[in-house]
Amino acid sequence: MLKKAEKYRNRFVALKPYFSSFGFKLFIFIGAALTALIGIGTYYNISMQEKQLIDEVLIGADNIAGTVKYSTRNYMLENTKEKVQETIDYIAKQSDEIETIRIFDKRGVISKSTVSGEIGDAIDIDAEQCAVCHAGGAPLEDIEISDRARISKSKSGEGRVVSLTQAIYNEEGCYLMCHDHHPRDKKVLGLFDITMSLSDVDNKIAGIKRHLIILGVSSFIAIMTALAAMLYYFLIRPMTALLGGVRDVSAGNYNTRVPVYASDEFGRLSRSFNRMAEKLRKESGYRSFLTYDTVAPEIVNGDSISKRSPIAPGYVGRDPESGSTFEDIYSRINDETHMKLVRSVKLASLGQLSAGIAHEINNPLTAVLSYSSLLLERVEGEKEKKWLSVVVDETKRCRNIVAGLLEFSRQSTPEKSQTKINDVILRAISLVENQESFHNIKILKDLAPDLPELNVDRGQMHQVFMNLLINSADAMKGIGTVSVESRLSVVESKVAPPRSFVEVSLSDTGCGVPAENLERLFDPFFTTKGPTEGTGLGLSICFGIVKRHNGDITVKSVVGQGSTFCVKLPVEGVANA
Amino acid sequence: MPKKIKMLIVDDEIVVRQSCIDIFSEKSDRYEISTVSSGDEALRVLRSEKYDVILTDLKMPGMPGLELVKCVKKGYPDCAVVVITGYSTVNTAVEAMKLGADDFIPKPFTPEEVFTAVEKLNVKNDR
Repeated sequence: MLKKAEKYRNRFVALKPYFSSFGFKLFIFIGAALTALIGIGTYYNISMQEKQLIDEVLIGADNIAGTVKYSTRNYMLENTKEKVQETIDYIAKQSDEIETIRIFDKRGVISKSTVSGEIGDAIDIDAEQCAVCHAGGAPLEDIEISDRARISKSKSGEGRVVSLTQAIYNEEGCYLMCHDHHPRDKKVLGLFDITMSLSDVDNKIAGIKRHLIILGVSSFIAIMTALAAMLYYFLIRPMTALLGGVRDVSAGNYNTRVPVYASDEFGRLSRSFNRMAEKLRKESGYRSFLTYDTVAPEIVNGDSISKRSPIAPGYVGRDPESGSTFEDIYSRINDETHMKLVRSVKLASLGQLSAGIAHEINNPLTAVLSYSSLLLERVEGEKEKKWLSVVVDETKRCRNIVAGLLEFSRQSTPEKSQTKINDVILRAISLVENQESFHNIKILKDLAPDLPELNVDRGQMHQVFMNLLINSADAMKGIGTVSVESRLSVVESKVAPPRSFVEVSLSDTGCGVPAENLERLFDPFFTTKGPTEGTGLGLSICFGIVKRHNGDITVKSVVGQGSTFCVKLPVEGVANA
Repeated sequence: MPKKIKMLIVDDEIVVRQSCIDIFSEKSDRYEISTVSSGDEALRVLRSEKYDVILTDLKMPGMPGLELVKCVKKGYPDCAVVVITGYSTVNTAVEAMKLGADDFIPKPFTPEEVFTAVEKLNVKNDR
């Protein structure tokens, strides 16, 4: 029993979404309204038909009463009672519908009847036949047919009968022929009472009822079927498709499209939805393309891939713009993008770690540097002096590393302002060219005039160019040429408005970097210099600063010929206008 | 006998406090050095005794070093303040200077660096 209840409950829960849908509610509402309309219409139609048929029977009964009246008039004046009885018997036999014909005298006694057993029976003035005229005060005259009729059950118990009375008025012949029985002042001498069977009428009404109910039910079924089909094709089907599409898009599947079934509002909505999904797909695709979106990774065949990225490996499809398969694009950009991502994550993690430990390391370093320096001043022996010098120098090196780490860890938000980038480059050049390491280095400048102002942190960008210039000098071992160029570049795109960038490149004629080291060049602590020459943080710091300006820094290098660093900064805001 | 220069070292690290004592003792006998481990303690000591120089760390439990610089410069304007910190940035240096600090030395420092900085102050003060 419980299992059965559970089964029904589960079935209800499964169907609940359908019951609560707009289409179902509309269907039920229209169905209820239609049922009421057809029901009322059918009832009214049947009532009208029944009334009409009964009226026809009553007219027939009244005609028969009139016929009896005129047929028996002479016999009544002659007072030949047998003839009167024969006449009404004869008339009653002419129609199966006539059940009884009675003649009441003025006292309410049945003087003649087609049912012989009831002759002589008397009825009270309150009886139905008399009550028509004697219901209140003085007897009524000239009463309407409908008021003289009464419907009751047949005495035999089969079907209904209708009885109609018609008064026998006192005429001149009556009171002249028989003054004793019919005084002149008497108006009514008796009445005819015709009872007719309604079985024929009832049969006809039952037939009409049957026809009308069949018509109503079949109309209801036909209309509801048409309505259900209409709701399905024009409302439920497009609505279900749209809901499915919205569900897919919200789950990140921007490739979903909904069918357009018609040119109505739903058709227009479906077309708009498809356009929106297409835009989302393109934007998502290119965003992933640029940022390597790794949110919600999914494991496919053991490989972790980006679930939302349409350029993930294994994704079937082509880039609508270039025609390349996403697999190709992925392969092409994977290495570069992945390296950038890994580098960014590394830098962020290292920055947080550095900030935490640098302060703590500096305190013990203070003690080490202080005491080793004091000892160095005191000791006499050459060997002791040499050894202590190593301690002092290495502690100072540690100090530089920690200082670099602290600088690196300060991922401060750039304090941007409109800046002429050429001015920043020139200031950096003017600072380095007086240094000893630049005395044998020629600096060539090719700076594009009229560059738009950039929204950058002047101090941070100065640090970038200083680092790159010092890096070049180190790579050239103090002899060579550095070419500094700045120019405006515009990147066209089929999916986005063109974007302007300022590119600053620094090319040196140094030793160059082997291809296997190029990828690691921006990694923290990676250095090709000697252990005492650099901390390996300079280019990492440059990378972090440029990234915080939404820019990019790249390097090309040929061993033995030199390297070119290119800093690409977006032109944005007012400057872009 | 010339009057000794009274110096207060404020740092929560004992190795830093001891290093400073030893540096100045080694370099000169003109310094009379006291140490405390927090800014609150420094203000308490300053109420009962007059100091010529204060060397203070910035990052300490309780009152921050910059707050101490502000209080000292407000309550004891004749007292010179040198900030020593292991988490130095241009911004903190500028802020310390704005609040009245006389010098700013990042940790770790050599004995020469810290001694020279303080000596320079005394030359100025003596003037």
